[in-house]
Amino acid sequence: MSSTLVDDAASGSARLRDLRSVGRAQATVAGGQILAGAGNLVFVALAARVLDPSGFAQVATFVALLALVNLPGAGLAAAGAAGPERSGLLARKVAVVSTAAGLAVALLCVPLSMVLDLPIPVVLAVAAALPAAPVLGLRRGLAYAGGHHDAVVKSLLAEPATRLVLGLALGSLAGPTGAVWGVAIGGWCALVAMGSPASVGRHSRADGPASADQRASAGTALTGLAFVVLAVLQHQDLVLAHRVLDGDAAGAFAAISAIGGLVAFATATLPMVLLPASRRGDVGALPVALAASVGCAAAAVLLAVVAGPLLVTAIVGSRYSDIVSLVPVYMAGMGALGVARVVSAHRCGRGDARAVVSVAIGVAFVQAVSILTWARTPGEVVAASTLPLVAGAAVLSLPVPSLDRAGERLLVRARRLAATPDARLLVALVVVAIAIRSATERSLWVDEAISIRQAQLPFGAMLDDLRHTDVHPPLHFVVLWVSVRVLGTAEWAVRLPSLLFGVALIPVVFGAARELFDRRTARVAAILAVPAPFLVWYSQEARMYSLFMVIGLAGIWAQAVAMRRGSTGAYLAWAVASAGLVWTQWFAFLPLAVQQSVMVVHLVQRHRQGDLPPAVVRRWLGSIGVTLLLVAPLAPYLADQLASYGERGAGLELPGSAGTDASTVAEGLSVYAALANGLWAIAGYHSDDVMVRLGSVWPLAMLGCLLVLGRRLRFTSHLVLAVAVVPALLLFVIAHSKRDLFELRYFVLSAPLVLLLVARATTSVARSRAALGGLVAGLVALSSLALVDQQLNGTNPRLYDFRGAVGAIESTAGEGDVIAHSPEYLDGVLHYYAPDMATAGVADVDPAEVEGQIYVVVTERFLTPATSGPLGDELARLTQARGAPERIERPNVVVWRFS
Amino acid sequence: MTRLHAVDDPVDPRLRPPRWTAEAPPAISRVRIALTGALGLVAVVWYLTWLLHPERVGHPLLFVLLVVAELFNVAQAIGFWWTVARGRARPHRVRHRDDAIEVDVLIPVYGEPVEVVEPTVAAATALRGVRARVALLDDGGSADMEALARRHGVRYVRRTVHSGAKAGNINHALGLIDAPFVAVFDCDHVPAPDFFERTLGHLDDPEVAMVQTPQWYANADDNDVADAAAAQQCLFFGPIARGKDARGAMFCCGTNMVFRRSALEDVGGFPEDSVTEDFQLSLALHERGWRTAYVSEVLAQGLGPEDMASYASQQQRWARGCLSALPSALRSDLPWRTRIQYVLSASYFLTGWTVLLYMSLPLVRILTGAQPVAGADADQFFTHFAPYFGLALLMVAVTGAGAYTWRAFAVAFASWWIHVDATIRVVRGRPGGFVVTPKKGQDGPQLRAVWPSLVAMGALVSVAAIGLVADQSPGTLNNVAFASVHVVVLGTGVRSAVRPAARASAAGGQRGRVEAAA
Repeated sequence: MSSTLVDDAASGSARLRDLRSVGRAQATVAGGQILAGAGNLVFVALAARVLDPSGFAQVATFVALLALVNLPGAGLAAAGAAGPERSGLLARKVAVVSTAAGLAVALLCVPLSMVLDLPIPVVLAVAAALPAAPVLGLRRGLAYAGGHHDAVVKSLLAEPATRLVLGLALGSLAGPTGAVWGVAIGGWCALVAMGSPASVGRHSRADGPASADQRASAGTALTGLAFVVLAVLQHQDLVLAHRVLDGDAAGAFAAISAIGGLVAFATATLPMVLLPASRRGDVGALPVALAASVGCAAAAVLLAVVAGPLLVTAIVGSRYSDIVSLVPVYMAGMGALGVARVVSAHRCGRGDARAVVSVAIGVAFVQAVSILTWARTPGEVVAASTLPLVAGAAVLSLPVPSLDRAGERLLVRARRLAATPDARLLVALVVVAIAIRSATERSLWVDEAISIRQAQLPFGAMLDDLRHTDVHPPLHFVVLWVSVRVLGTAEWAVRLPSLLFGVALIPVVFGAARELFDRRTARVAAILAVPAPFLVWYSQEARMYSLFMVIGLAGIWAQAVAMRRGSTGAYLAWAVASAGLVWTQWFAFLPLAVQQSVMVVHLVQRHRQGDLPPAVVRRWLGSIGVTLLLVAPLAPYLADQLASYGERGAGLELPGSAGTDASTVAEGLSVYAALANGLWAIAGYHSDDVMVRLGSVWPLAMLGCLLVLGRRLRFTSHLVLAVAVVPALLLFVIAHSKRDLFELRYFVLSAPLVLLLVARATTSVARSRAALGGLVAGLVALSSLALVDQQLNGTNPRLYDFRGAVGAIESTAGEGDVIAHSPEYLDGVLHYYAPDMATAGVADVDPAEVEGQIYVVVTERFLTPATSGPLGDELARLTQARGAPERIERPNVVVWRFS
Repeated sequence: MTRLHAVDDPVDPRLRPPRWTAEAPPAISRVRIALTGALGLVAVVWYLTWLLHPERVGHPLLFVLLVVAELFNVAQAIGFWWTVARGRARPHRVRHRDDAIEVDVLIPVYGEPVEVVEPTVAAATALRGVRARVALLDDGGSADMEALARRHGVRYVRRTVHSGAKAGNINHALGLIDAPFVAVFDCDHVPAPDFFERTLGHLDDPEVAMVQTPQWYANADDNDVADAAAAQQCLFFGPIARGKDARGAMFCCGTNMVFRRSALEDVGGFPEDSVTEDFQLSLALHERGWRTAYVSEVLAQGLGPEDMASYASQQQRWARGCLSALPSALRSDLPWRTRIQYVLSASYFLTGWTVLLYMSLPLVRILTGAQPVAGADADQFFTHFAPYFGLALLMVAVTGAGAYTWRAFAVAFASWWIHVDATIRVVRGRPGGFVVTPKKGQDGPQLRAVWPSLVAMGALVSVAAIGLVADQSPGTLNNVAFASVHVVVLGTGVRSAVRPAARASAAGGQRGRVEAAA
């Protein structure tokens, strides 16, 4: 008993000593860091007075560039602190890479100076500073690991000291160039102050448990990555705010960031000191670091609350007094970041770096998306920046060991998958698919221009516009809205989401085919999907069809998994995909109804066979419930659209049926129209002439029917067949009362499903490897031929060259010219390509009032018997007033130029 | 349900459990069949009312030929549906062991290998439930066969006068035996031990003259030709035979059957003047008021033709026999339902003429521009023809429950010339003699067995190429597509004859196993 008491007392005493030691270390380094920050602040303040404004701007830019260069340094410092035993090789690599980078910058100083708008000596100073920064980061990390906190403090102080002495001296002598060289030399001085690598390494302690060492060693790289992401998280809001805010507002947020950033700066060293301690298993290290971090943040917030105006005025001047109320909030966010870094360091030290990386990336993504899509004022940016940080800190603070295990499992599976031939095939196919889908481009057409116009509206206004003028659910438009905010409205930018979804369809086709059929069919299906003309076409169109196909096929994939294995995850995925489909296009109800019908039949069959556990029924009903729950918010939206649709006269004026007459030859609906739609799904869009010829070989389809004789279709085949065919048949029947509705775009999911069936038939027919290879090669060749014709043949009825037409107009247009158009809804696309020219419906143009030329743009395919007559009258009127026009023709677009 | 000698991994496929059952599908399938048939009838009306219109007459002769062909096929299709619509299974009448009952089991032989015959003889001696007296009727006069009979303790019968082929052989044996029931098995058909337990109960009805059971080719898995032939048999011995039985028109199929001796004596035994003695015998029995029964259980397993020459030989015999029996069927004194059933079965072998016409139409169109149908665009033709074609195929698929395959269709399609040849021979009064279907396949290409189809393929390919060079109009492309369909189907049908490897190496392996077993 007495012995135990003595042991406990000794143990408690040791713990207390450790706690004091850790506290002292944290205080020492944090003190150095704060002093260094103060020194840097003084340097900036003095430089602003010594240099003229343009010179100071150069120094500020240089410092910003240096911060960028130091980004990897943050990761290296953490990596060094987490895994000093692996630092030898790492240090050499870092030295080589950073030196090479410095040399590259030096060699490219001329073009870089032009791009950055900086004098060449300043760029050379960047090159000079570059090799030191990463090495300095790594050395500091090693010093943290070795407990050389004095060396760290010396290094921290050496940098501002050099800046203040040498930088200011050189600045006063040689202007901004001298100042930046002083700053660059400051980095080298900090490195020198750290001491030699040998001395750092000699003092490194590796006295922790062997298992902890192994864990930390394994997580070194991830630790580095985690702290790089955290560094990005610290700075990205400023960059993003600069993009989404106007000049003054951006300046206001920069001021908030500068003040709030002090908290992040002050707490930056806490995790570095904590990392090696956590790695060693020091029990008291985390509470000390957390207390320091929370205390620092609380003090800063308190200061901002109590003396906000004074603080703001002192640091950024009185012109930013409006931000006073926002500073405490932002400081709290930065405090949360500090806490998150401390918790991250602890988890990394305990070998849990993967979870940290996952959470940090997630928070960074949410923050970026929030700022880009929502924040439009400094206050909103602060909220969008702060809330994810607080949430991230909370998540990281939760004891979630399963997160790491789940991540590990995912990683193992991903590695296994990446090592398979299928993965290599898919990567190759995706690359080829990107190349094919990027190789050709075409003008935007009417629907795309309408979507772009809508996506340029403020978010709420866009939804209102969709609610009252459109006939689609909002998901695609939300994606496009984000794309427009981030990338702008260039053709490639608005079509990028469709391209990404179109490319994503390749692996989804593979996965679905593998689940529905087998691996052989999956490979063939993925190969056939790459040059499939229809899939390529909608990967290049800024509309929702590409998204619809990928979600729809993923849903069928999930359903197949659910039917086979009955897992909750599969049912959930199916439910989410089903809801996503409805959020993309209202016609989703058709395939979803068919999918559910197939499911009912499947369950009834299982029930008859006595193989239907109640849990399966519960999961199925649950998935329907989840779908309904996710779709329910769309109900009022749909009601509004239906009301507006009715008021507009059932949408007869919409160009929804544009191009539907291509190759259907006969007017109205016919079986041949159904055949044409089938051909589109397989062979893409072609001129009427080609379509008639393709349609004439329909007897070959008899072969397809004969080939399936005697083949027992599995339930998965029934599922694919039903979802591919039944919606089309239903629309065919419905279209007898409204012709526009029978159009492949409205049962677009049939296209990838037909492709799956073709792949299945191919693998069924071709038993030998050689036969399969030959057949697939033949199909790919035919598909490629069809693709070339679709993409390059100007007689393709879906190709509307508005860009070319406007280009022709602009080559002769002058002041006061007007573009008249028919039909009315061409205004969007014409405005897109000719934003500076006046546009009007042809009936609204009075030739007497137009000083310049009148260009009448017409797409004859959009004309109906009801509109072609009035157009002829208008053209006659203009001819009477201006004389015979010049006719300019572009694919499916005609321009009459009245001089 | 398997009652054969199920042996673990037997060397002879006839001793493995059969992978096909002839039993009636569940009620839901019957509903499906009825629904498909009803829709098919609508499609037939839809097509014919469109086709049989004065405006549609293009080239008058071609139009008439097309209409005749279509009406023939429609009649066959309606007959098929009418037959299979009542394809219920006959209730089981199991008769348990009764050694007092004597049955003569006849196994006619004519030059077949011993290794093929021996399992049949061995299985016949193991038939249970009755006192079976097995007789090997050797028309080939083989000493090996005599030794085989001795080895298994069965009666060996050898004729001095070889007249009447198989029918003559059996009639000769009938004079030597006296049991009240007579069972006949082809020498390659191995009966299950409970064959009589499952069949004799139906002969309790004194009006029943004969009980037929299905033929199943056990080598279907080992050989492409046998596989195709088996698939064709499945369609017949599945829905068609059940339907014929339900309509009282099931006829004797030459093997795997048991007769009432008195019925045979009533009609004077097997007719010896026909190459399809079984068909003629059945006709005679029905005319005399006897009834027949069909037990849709696989109670014997045989060997299907293993090469195209064997297949063609078998088909030629059936085609000539049935077509020569067609006048008898038409003239017969039978209830109209039964008579129609006989006419449908016999006239099936005229189908090759329609195939010949369908193959000729694209050629004529491409070479001369003449076509049977006018006053309609491709849209209209497709609209009216596609449902008819699609539902006809669906009917076959649904009723066959997946047993009838693409290969079976292709091989039947490529046999068009056999029907044409048989018709000409029958019309000329030279139907030919009985030819035993070879029980062993031969190595090497068998171009002679398929040469008419090869010529047709050559003509179709050549004319299609000429057409494509001369004109790429939609009309030409449409006919080239039709020609291509025919080429692909014919090509699949003759593949086994042109490329022996396509018959599957398993065929050789199969023979080797049978020989090894012997």
